Amino acid sequence: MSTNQNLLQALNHLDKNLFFEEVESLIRNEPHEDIVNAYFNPGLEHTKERYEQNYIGLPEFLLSVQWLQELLNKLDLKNRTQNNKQIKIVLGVIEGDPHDMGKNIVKKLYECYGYQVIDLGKDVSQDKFVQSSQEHEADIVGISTMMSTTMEVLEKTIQRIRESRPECRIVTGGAFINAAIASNIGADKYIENAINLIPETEELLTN
Amino acid sequence: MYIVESILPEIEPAETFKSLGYSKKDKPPSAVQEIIESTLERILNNTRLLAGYDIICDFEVEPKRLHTKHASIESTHMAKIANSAQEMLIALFTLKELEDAKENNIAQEFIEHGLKAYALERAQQRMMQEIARQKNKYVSLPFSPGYCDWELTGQELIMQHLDPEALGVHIHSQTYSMLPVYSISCVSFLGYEKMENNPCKYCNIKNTCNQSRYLS
Repeated sequence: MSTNQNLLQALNHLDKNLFFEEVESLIRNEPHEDIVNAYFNPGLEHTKERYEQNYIGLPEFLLSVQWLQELLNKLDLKNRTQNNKQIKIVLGVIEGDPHDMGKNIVKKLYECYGYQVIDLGKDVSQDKFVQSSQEHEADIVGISTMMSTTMEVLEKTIQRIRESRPECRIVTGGAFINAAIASNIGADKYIENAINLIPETEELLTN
Repeated sequence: MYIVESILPEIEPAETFKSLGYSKKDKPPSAVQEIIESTLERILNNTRLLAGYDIICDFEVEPKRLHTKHASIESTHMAKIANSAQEMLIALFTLKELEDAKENNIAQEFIEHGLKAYALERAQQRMMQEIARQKNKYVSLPFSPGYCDWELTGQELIMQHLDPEALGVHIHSQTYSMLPVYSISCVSFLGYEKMENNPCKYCNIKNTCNQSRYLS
């Protein structure tokens, strides 16, 4: 069995020992830049497909993503951002909302796909979103909310980011939001779940 | 407000699978089960339930709302149940952590989040049943602000009747979110007869709503 198949098998069976044995072998024997394209990317896609097709649940998906990111962190790459992406994403949970589980999953996936994430945390003020978007020249600002009572401040925050940096795209997601609500309050995109996150982000960036 | 601190109830790992997104026929793989078992053990050993509650009998019921001396609740479903109740239980439950948060990877963080939420609900259920047992009454399904037909602004009632800060719970004045996040505010009814009216039966989000766990 080839190393790549071993790696995929290790992910399929969530066999941590096998996975990291293969990783150590790759690191010793392969050019690190090649590992990203030949092993890391296929591993990530494979994991995503299995989650998308309901072969695995969210905990398995996140565990696999975690291991793959640990693989990435072990590599000595000239450019730490995978695939040379230089896209900067400012992420945070809106003011008045302390629920950050969804935002943390989004952050992990963005990082795994090579985006640069500036994580503002939870209960983030309007000023902080605007200031960070300017300071980091963010390509995207992602705002998460789990509470319908944040709607007014969410709309205002989007408006203020828009006024200060019209070129910045704004995405939002969370329990009570849908595409229509996101559009009504001025967001460029509503992202429903982990599966849609990367394709929807890429689509947003190409439009 | 009565304040009670208690240990969490015994919880078997298998009963938590649903709270982590697994269906009845699916089981997590062994690597995930290991994380569940160790995380659950840590939560049960290092967390306590802190409950604050008040029981009132001076409330009035109308067809679509009910009134306490401090506030009104707009909820047809609650009013239906309250009709046959003698007392109203207003309660706030929170998890008190005995150790500092552990640095987790994202999978562990997700699992811990699901398990804490599940443990809190189980502890809440147990304590409400215990209160009912002591009163020799039946307890209804709990209603929480933001669920069923009760608006999240119902947190005002919780703040007026109880003292959240005394439990270490802060309720945000604009969004009504609670800190610590593992907190539940609710109203239940106590009565001499079983209060069968269960609005979850007619609810179209019962498969995703945490409250619907009380159905099983």
